[in-house]
Amino acid sequence: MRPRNKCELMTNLRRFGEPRLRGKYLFISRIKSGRLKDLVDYLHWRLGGYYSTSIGVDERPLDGYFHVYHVFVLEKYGVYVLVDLPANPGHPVVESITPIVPAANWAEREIMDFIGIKFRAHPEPHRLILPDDWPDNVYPLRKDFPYDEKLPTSDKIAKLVRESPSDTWIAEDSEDHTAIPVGPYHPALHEPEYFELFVEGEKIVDARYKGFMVHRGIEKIAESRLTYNQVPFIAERICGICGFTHSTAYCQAVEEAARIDVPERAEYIRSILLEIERIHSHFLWMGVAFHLLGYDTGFMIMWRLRESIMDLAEKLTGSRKMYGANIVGGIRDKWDIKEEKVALINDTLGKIREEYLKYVPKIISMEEIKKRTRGVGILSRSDARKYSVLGPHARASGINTDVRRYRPYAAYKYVDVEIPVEDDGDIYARIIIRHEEIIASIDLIHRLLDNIPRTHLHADTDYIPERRYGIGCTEAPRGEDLHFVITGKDNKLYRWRPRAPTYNNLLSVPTMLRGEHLADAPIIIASIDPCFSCTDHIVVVDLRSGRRRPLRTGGLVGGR
Amino acid sequence: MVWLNTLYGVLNACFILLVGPLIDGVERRIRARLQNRRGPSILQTWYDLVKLFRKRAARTGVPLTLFRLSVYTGFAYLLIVSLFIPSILCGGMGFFGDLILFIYLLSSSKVFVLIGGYSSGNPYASIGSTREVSLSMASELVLAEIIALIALSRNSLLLNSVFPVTAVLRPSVLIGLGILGIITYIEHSRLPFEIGEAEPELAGGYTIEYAGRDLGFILWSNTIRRALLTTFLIDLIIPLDVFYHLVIYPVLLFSIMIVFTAIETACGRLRIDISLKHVKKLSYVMWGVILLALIGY
Amino acid sequence: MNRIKVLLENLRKGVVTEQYPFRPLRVPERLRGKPVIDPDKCAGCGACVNVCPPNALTMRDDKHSSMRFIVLFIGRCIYCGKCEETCPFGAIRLTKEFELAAESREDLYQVVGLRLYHCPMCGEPFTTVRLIKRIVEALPEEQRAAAIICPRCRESVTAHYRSYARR
Repeated sequence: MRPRNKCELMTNLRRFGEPRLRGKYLFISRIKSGRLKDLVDYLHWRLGGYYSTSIGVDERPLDGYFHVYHVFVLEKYGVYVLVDLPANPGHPVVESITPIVPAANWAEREIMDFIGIKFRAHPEPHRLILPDDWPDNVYPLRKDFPYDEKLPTSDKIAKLVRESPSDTWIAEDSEDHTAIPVGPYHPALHEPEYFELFVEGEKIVDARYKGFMVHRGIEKIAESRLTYNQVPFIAERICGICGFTHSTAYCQAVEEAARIDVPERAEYIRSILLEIERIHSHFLWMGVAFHLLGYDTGFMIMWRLRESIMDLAEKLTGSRKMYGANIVGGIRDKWDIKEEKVALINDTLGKIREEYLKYVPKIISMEEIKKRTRGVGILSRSDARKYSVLGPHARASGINTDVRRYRPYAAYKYVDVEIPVEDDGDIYARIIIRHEEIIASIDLIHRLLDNIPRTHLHADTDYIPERRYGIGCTEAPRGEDLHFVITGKDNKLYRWRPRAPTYNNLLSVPTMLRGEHLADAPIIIASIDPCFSCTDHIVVVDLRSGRRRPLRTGGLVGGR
Repeated sequence: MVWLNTLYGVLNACFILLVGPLIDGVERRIRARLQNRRGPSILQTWYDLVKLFRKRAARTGVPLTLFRLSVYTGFAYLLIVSLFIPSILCGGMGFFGDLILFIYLLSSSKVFVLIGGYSSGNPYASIGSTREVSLSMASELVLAEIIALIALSRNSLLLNSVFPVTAVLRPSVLIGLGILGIITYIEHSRLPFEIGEAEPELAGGYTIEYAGRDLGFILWSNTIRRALLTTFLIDLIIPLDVFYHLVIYPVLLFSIMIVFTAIETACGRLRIDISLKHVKKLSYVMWGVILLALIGY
Repeated sequence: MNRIKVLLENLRKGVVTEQYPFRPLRVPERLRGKPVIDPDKCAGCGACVNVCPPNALTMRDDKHSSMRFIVLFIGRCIYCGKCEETCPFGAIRLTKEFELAAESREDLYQVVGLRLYHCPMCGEPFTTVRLIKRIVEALPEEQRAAAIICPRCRESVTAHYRSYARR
């Protein structure tokens, strides 16, 4: 029996620990010993919630403990459940939830890397983000690690390069299959990441992923150097495609934490810009998908259409991509959408919609496109639940989830959002979902423009209290984008953790690749609309530091 | 007359060598216009080649002899073909059985390049070569069937005496020409059958390890092979006559290439298994056509 | 045939690509390009330096030459326009210029130098001459005396007067 309301939910949760409801956040602390797995199982598999992410915080200066927060989203009850696991600073070990919720795999490893909390019984307790030559027992996101610390350079890399045989290309071939490296630089993938595909002939039998090659350490910079109103700009630069969604999520997190009421007009403008961003992102994705399917004319058409959106954004905000409109508490004055701009948006979008409908339905009915996407790269509904995939990727597998409808933010509170859902779970379904979303977004912008109210653009934000928790969520073009903040002293954040949707979606890729053709690998990988920079977002990782597979180095520096 | 035919052959070869990259330049322009782009100068492919020829081939640590030799062998084979196939001038160094030599040289020039790519040991090159080999095996079977049909219809294995095959207007010949058109398209390795290089999948496939002059020769060979295959198709259609070859032939050559480009621009890439199925179907049809020819239609 | 229709539609549309950089590119009014400081208006208050998220704007006081330098390094700038929004004198503006590739790193700097103002009591520099002039001009007669001394001296002076008052 599922509990019918929040009260019943609270009663049920008392079996596991001490639930406390604070607004939209349901903290569960003091988990009874041995009940963590039951609790997680209950939240993720029984209550119909999904696992969003895990956050590690060094709260030793505040209460003497490290903390791990596992965030689950219960869309039905409209709450975020934060499972609070304190870890003893002398011996920071907590129990892993990955055996029950595979989606937590990376987030837990990230915490191991950055905070140094160990997870008992984690199936793959290896490093995820930090490079292999990073010294042991140095954890960069602990508060006693200065942000400008320079570590001594390791000579391990040089040694690896020296020792690897130069004429070997293929890493880790076994007797019956060949390993095909896809990345770190590959024309199908427009960002650095590394997939290793094991093939028999042209059939993929297994796949492995190694990413986090563009991790830049911006969390640390934000926590130690930037003020609240400077962070939106670095948040926007997490992604070159959906940056505005990141800055909005960040601002919402701080607004939640400090209980700031954002004026309605600012909410509308945020929503309008977010939808413009979604349209451009989906256009971009479709173009890339057509390119990967070999249909370059389609690619050119999509990017031509996208160009009108980029021009529109430039006219509205002064920049094609970095809108720079968000500050904590609202929208900056110059970014107001005045009467003549309303007309401009309506006009441009009308033209784009017309032209778009002339092309895309024809293109997606082409034989090559259909043959290569129908029944390819299938992610079943249960696998989608298992990996807690998000956004269009989840909706293509029949999961009806959308932050805009089930946890509405900005101006989505005031309008209806149309959410297409498909059941096939293949690449074609993902194309269709995004196709319908483009149309829905255009229509949505028209509706938003009709109702835009006249209020202020930003609220007063003179004082932001200390040690408040906030979660900001937006429906990015790729799914739920979550920013977690803890406010701090001196106009600065205590902790900030952005989690881009690709972080969850990528985990499902190996499952989709197994048993498919090598020729389909690029389009399968691309079908989740991966955004690797978003996912990595944080210290430059040296590509050559493959500790477990030094042979790869030989291939990469083949010129010697 | 031997020296005259030799001269014709040499002039024809020169024409093909020069016009191959030029056609590619025109195609790039056409493709650009079909995609709302301005496109490069029609001499762009020549500029690219000249630039590549000036560059040293980069050493990539792969066995050099086979890797490089195969490129030049393949190129030389194509050069030989262009000596005896009539193109801009109607004549050349023809000899008995050159019809068979034509298909042999044309296909082995490709196989050489693929072997070269394969020998680099790069996994992408291996996959690209394997794909390309399986596709050209299938399509060359059809090409051989067409040659058989032509020889059957014209009772000869001499190129200069089978041209033009349209002199005998039989249904089998017409269907055969139609299928030859399709096979020419496939052998051009154009989309949806461009699967050996497949930039978004294989990052250039069999050409991935080549650079500088070697790459230049591969690209040049590809344009020449395309021109030769199309020339063969045209030769079968138009009369072996000075006027036709000097005037009609170039017009047809460019028009066919432009039509092919337009088709290519409208297509995506098929997967190897699907493309093979398509070519196999053609092969079955072709057996039927040969039977048709045998009973005199 | 759908694919043919797509091509025909494209042909009807015609060429859309720009011939940039051979022809100049039209940019919208609102474009946020290279920021430029007007050295005649800048008073060296440092408000822009405080808000600049990527530290593209920095401030340095050189006691030796008695100058304050406001340094703008375009290489770090993210064109957010925070400086323009904050500047009380309208001295820094974003232009529409976007072609910022330069042959040397020095070309990416703009430096504005302003004379430092020394406190008449302790002799320490604490702001620029221009800023003090503007402040003095804006203030009513009776408050001017307090404005021309440095904050620390002002504190001690006020304390002094207060202690008198208390007696």
